[in-house]
Amino acid sequence: MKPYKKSFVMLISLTLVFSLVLAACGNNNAANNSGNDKKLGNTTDNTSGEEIDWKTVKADIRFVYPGTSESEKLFAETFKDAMKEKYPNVNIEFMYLSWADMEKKISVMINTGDVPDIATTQDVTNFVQMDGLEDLTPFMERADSTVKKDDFLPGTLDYSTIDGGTYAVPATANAFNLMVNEKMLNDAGMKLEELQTWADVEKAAQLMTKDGKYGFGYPLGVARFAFRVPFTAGYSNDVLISDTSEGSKSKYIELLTHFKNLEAYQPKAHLTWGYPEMFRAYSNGEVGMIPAGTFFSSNVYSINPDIINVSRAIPYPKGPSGTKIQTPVANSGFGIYKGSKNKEVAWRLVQELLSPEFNSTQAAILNITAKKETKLEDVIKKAESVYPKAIDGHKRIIEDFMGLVAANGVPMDKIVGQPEMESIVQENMVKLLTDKSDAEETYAAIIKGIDQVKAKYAK
Amino acid sequence: MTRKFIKLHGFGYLLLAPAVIYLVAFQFYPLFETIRLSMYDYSLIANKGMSFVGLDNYKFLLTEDDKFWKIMWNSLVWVLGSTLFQFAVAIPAALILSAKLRSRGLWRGLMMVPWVAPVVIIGIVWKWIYDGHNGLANYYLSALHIIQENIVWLGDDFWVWPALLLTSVWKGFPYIALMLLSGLTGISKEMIEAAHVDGATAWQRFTRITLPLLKPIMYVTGLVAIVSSWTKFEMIWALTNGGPGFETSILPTYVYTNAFVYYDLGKGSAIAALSMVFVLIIVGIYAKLFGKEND
Repeated sequence: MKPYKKSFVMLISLTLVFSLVLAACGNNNAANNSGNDKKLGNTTDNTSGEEIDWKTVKADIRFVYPGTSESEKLFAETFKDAMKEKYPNVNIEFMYLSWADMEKKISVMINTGDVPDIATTQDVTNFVQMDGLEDLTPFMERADSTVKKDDFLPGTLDYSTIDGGTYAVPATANAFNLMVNEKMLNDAGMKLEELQTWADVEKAAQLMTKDGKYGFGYPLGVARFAFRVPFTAGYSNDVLISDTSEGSKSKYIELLTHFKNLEAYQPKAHLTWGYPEMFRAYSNGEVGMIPAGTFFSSNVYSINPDIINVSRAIPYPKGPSGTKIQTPVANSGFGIYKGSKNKEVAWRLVQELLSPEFNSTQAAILNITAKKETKLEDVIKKAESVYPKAIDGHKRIIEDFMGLVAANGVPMDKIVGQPEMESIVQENMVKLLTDKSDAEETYAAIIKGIDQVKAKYAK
Repeated sequence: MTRKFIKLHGFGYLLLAPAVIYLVAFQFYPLFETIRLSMYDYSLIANKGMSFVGLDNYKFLLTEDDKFWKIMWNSLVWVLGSTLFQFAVAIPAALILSAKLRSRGLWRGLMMVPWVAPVVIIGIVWKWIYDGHNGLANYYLSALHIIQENIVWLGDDFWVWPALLLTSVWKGFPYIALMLLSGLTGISKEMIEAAHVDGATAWQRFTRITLPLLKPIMYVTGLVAIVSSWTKFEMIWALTNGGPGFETSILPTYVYTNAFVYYDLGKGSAIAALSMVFVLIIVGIYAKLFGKEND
């Protein structure tokens, strides 16, 4: 090899080596954004007293956003544009992920120290256990904060509160309930008001099951939903699905028996369904009742907007041992990651997100606001552009949800180790509904599994 | 290290450096880290930090975990079933596509479509085909009066594994067929013609000449198929999530569930390490059975 050729190859090789080494060193985004909090004062105590000129504040904000429907993406982009105008040097980068993907990605990011700035949250339990979220209480207690603890509808903030710390501020309230195709119900000879007990649900499901249509749809194919449905129904029988005490045994078995009774009125395929299949079957009028939540409209609108006009939202009716009908209420909101170097800017943006302007838009997409000051008429007005083909039905569903949260809403329980319990419940519910075990055996297997999970996480 | 050594060998080592750095950083380090983590009780959400437990995770999995051996069995069914059936489809496909056909290039290209398509998209498409309510499989089988009522392909104890294996075969056979095609082009036509002249039947020509001459390439391809099937996590995840419960889980899905759903990195790493050991054993047995004659 001629000397000049050798030198050239050596240069290329060296470049490759250094590229690999540099690539391995990685790009810590946090490092690129360092210093904003120092410039703006202490992370949680902006007591410098100096007036901040927000037009000059520079920051790159990474915002994890699990809104993947078109309307949710539009909301995100609109917010980004508005903030760019208001804060010209603040760049927001949205990380669009599904809820399931988000949990996995963020858990890895938290543990590698490469955390984004703003989190969209539902259940904060796991992230708090990972020490990944900032307690927002000191932020809310500041005199100049536009978000205060008293701003929220009863119960909604509780879902984000653990051991006195508030790890997310709620934007919308998520209630879990029963959606009923009122037309199918009426055609079957029943009225909505007659759905008061589990026996009524079973009767309605039976009457609706005819001519290739079914009364009920329980998505058993995904562990999260397989767990969530009996979890929701259990509230109206005074039993929490993670309650393994002997005292709750009879209520628990009633819960299992209820779903066993409904099995004859469900398409067999529900064993493999997730939410998409369940919503598709319901939207196409193949199933008359589904356990869903405030996210109903955004999930069915793109499949068949007309279904919204014949749908009603009711709390899951009362079980045989239930003292009253109860609807678990969670929230969807925003938090700040503990490792963020831009907490002040992130908090500023969170406050903007919770302003009536943006909060009403988000509520228009997801049905119920968690903030007292956001007006219902604003939400409905904005919903006209989100759900133009089904606005009357959507308005009625919003009113249904508002009513059921006010009358029956209770804070949803947060369960440590829930993902593991979800698999246990799914596995055993499948056995129960495919006649491989009876309610007693299913109960024993679920309780054994849940107790093992509890023991694992016991402090 | 002398200047002379550097002058003599430095350039060679420099050329090797990128590959070595890559292997160390992205292969060996994760491997050792996995083994290290497997000896810790390390859950991201248990709020207990990391504590050294030695071989406890392994002991639990091998002796106390009531799901582990069922999942291990599923893994064997998945790997052996996928590999055998892929060969069963790929051999005739390769023979047909090596024959003189009109538009042979086009057929060969079309055959590769499943192999080049992304696994997750294939999974979603097949999930629709297998849908127990509105799926194409049920629709056509009903139209042909082969079935009277819908089958929940991915939720039925009997049908779920045939359905999963069919998808795996459909996705994986083109690669094996391509390898066999390359092997077939290397077989002397004169030898086949000579056998034909000597009166050998088509079956005899296939079993006595073609197949033995394809053995070396079949051996290597089989090895690749076993390893790739063992790690083919996405297909099962897209179709069944490994469920219901753990009914269709294989070891890679069990690793994923433990590490990234339950955030139990200690147990997840132990399953990954055991998975590695098992695949090495299978490859060892395979090499012992078929490797000698291909040396």
